[in-house]
Amino acid sequence: MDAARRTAVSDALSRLADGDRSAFSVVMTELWPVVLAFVRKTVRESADAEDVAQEVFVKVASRIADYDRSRDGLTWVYAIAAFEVRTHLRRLQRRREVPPLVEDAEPADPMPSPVDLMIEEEISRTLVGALGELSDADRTLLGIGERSADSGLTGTAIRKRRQRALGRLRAVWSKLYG
Amino acid sequence: MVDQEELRKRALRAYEFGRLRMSSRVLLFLVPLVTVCTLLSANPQACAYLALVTVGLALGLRWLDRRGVQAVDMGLKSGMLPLLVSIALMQLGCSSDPTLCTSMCIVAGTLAGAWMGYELHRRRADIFVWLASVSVALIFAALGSIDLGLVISFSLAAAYIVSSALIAVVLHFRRSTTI
Repeated sequence: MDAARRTAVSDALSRLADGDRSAFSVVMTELWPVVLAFVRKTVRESADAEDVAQEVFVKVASRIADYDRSRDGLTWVYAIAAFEVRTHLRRLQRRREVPPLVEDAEPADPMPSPVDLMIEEEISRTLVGALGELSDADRTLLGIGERSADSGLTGTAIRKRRQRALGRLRAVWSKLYG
Repeated sequence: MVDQEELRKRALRAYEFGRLRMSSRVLLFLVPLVTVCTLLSANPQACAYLALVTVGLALGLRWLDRRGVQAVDMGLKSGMLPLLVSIALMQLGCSSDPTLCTSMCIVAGTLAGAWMGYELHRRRADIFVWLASVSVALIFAALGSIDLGLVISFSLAAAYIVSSALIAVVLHFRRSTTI
């Protein structure tokens, strides 16, 4: 916006702040495109941008009686617009954080979809592959394969060995599948 | 697409509400003062009516435009001295001495009017501001002087109007001759 138009907007705002209602149409004509363009830069959704710009315009009109004439009019309007845009973005973010209501949520399908079945099969196949790399003792400790007769180990020792076997399984898994 | 006409209506409504909100700030000063005046008055009903008129006039003028805001500010400031003098005279029990009351009220009215005349000249106010501020000042001052009687109230008002007009006219002519 050039300096002359900027001064014209400030003058119109000052006149409106003084109670000169005839300046309203000037403010509307000059300010509305500026406000809309400013809001569109930050709010991507077109309908949202128009709503926010309208809110900004109404706020400007409502607070104009308190407008300090020593300040630049356009800077004052931009400050209000920036605050409104921030409020809108914060509201959007909050809306995304709130989980949908139970009645709004889609009911869970009791039968798994073909895609779910395919993923499950793939995971089982890769797990079997990783387990194949382990020793028989490790597989037994993890509860897969044949259990040997009583080994005479205490509960703590079995837990420790199982932990080590899990560590080895993890290492094999990362070596095979990254 | 934004409906410009609807937006215009909404914005105008918001503008008028904003002006009303701004003008109602005067209530913070006026309401406690008129309440005290009404409670101290010997004729609380008349005082309450005057208080309502003062509040309505102040709100309406401030809502109207900047000149109205100016007029209310000056009117309330200049009406303060006659109001306080009248209340003091009543509270000190001087109401039985009409000569003292009249002379004191005339002095207070003259001083307040002179200040108003000076302010009107300094701010280069027009006739509307003069009329509006004098009305506010006199109704505001009447909140205290109403208990002293109509004669004293009218004397105060006359002194106020004459001195404010005289000072404003004298200062105006002095400025024109200097230029």
